[in-house]
Amino acid sequence: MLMNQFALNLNFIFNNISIMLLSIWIVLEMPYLHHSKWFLRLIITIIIIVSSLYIPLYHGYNLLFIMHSVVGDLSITTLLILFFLIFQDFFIFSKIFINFNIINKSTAWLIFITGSLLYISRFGLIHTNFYQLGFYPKEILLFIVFAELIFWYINKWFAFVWFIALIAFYFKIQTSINLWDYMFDPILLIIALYRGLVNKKLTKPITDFRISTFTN
Amino acid sequence: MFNKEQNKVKNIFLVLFLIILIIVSWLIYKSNIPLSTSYVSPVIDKSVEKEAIDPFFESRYVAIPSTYYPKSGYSISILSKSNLLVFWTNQETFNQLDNTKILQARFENKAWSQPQAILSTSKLSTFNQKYIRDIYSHAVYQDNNGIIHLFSTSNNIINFSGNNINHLISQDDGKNWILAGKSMSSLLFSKNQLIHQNIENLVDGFYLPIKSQFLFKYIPNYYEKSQLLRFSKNGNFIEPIPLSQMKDNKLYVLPFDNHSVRIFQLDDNSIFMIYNIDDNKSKLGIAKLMNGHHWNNIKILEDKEGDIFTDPVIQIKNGSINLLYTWNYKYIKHLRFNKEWLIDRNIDVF
Repeated sequence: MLMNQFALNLNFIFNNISIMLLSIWIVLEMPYLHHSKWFLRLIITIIIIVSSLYIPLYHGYNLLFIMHSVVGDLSITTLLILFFLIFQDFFIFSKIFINFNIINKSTAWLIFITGSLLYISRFGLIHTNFYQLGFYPKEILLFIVFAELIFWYINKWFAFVWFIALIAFYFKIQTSINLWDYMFDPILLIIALYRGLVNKKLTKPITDFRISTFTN
Repeated sequence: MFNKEQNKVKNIFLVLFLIILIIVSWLIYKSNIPLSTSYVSPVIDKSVEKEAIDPFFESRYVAIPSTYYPKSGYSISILSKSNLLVFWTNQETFNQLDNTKILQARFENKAWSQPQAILSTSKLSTFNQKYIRDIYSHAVYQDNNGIIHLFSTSNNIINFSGNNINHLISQDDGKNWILAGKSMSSLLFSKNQLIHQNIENLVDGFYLPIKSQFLFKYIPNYYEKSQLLRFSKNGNFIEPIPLSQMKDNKLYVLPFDNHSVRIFQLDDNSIFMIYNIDDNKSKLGIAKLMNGHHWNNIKILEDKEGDIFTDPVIQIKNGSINLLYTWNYKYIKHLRFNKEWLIDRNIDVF
C-alpha cells in the first residue's frame, strides 16, 4: 500500500538536486557573473550549495524548501538540462571549450511551443486535454518517437535527454504516473523561452582544446 | 569517401537509437495498461434496521480546548455501531493560517475523547519538503477492508504555486496514521483543488471527487472543472477521470460548494435534507422531500437568535443517523437519532 520508502527517498534526492541546480543556474546566469572567471563562479556555486542547505530563510526553512514550495517537482528533463547548462557555462571563459548546446534556438522554440500547447490544454483553454493522454500513454508514445526523430536531427543531446526521461518513466523514478511530468514542467518552458529569446554569447574564439558539440 | 563513411556511422547510430526507442516505448505501453473499469459498481451503504424500534435521540458536544478554533469542514467515520471518529481542521490562533492541524476525536462508551492531532502543517512540510501554509477541505473514507483513508488539501507558500492533496491511512481504526506516499500536487498556476466529502465506494477501489479552480478565474475566461481521482483497493492513485467522460455521472454530481446543506436517503427511498432555515444560520432544520417536488420542514434542530449553526455532516449505519454540525464555529455538536425519531412529528429539539 505504501510507496516504497526507497523510491520516496530517491524522489526527494532528485527534487533537491534539481532545485539546487536551478538556484545555481539562475545565479550564474546573472550578467556580471556570467562573464566572471571560473574561480569566482566556483566559489559562488559552493556558497549557493551551502547556504541553500543550511541557512534558514523563512519560518526556519531553507532555500531548497522555499523554492520547492514555489516551483514544485521538476521533471527529469529539466534536471538533466540544468546539469548540462551549468556544466558547459562553467567552462566558457576557461581554456577548455565545452558546448553541448543542449538547448539551441530551434530546440528552445520547439520545447516552448509544444509545452505551451500542453499547458494550455491542461488549463482547459482548448477542448482537447493532451495532459490526460500522459496517463497510461498509448498514442502519445508515437508522438514521442516522432519528436525524438526530429530532435535527433536538430539536437542530439536533447533527444538523449528525452530518451533518459522515457526510461525514467518506465521505472517510475518520480512519483508521478503521467509521462508528461517526466518530459515537461513550467520551469523548462521558462528556460526554453529564455534560451530562445536571449542570444547569449556562449563562445569565445576557440583556443586550445575542444570537445565536440554533437549538434548540427 | 570519408563523408560516406561518416554518414554510414551516423545512419547506424540513428537506426540503433530508433530500435532502442521503439523497444522502450513498447515496454512503457505494455507496463501501463489501465485496469478495466467494467467491474466498477458503486456500493452505497444506506442501511437502516428493518424491525420497528422505539425512537431515540441523543445530543453531545465534542470537547474542544478553549484555545482551539475549528475551521469549517468536518468529516465523520463510523467504525462500528457505537464507535465513531470525527475529524476537523483546526487552527490554534484565530484567523492565522500557520500551524493548522487536522484533529481527531473518538466516540466510545457514549463519550467523546479529547481531540488528538493526526496531521499538522509542520509535519506535512517536512514530509513533502515544501513550506505548507494551510490545511483545509478534507474527506474521510473507510474502504471495504476497514482501512480508513483521510484526504486533505494543503496550500503551498503562495497561491500561484498551487496546492497538494495529502493522503493519510490508518489500518487500526484511527489509532495510528501514516502519510501514504507523496502528496499529489496541482499544476503551477492552479489555485485550488477542493476535495468533496462524497467519496464513492467501488467494488475494487474508490473515487475521490475533486474540483479544480485555476488562476484564470481572475480573468474573463474563468475555468473550473470537476473530476474523479480513481484509487485502487490498495489505496494507490490510478488515474483522474474528467466528469465529462463518465457514462453515467448522476452519482457524481457535485452540487454544493458551501457546507450548509446535506441531503441523505434512507432505505425506503425517503430523502431528507439538513439545512439552515434562515440566512443568518441561526436555525437548523430537517426537511423531507415530498412527491419528488416539495421540501417539507419536519424538525427544528436549533433555533437561537444570534448564534450560528452550520456545516452539517451526516453518517448512517446500523439504524443510527449521526449528525455533526458546528455551533458558532467554536463547538462541534453531535446528534444521534434513528429513523423512528425522524418521522415522529411530535418531537422538536431546541
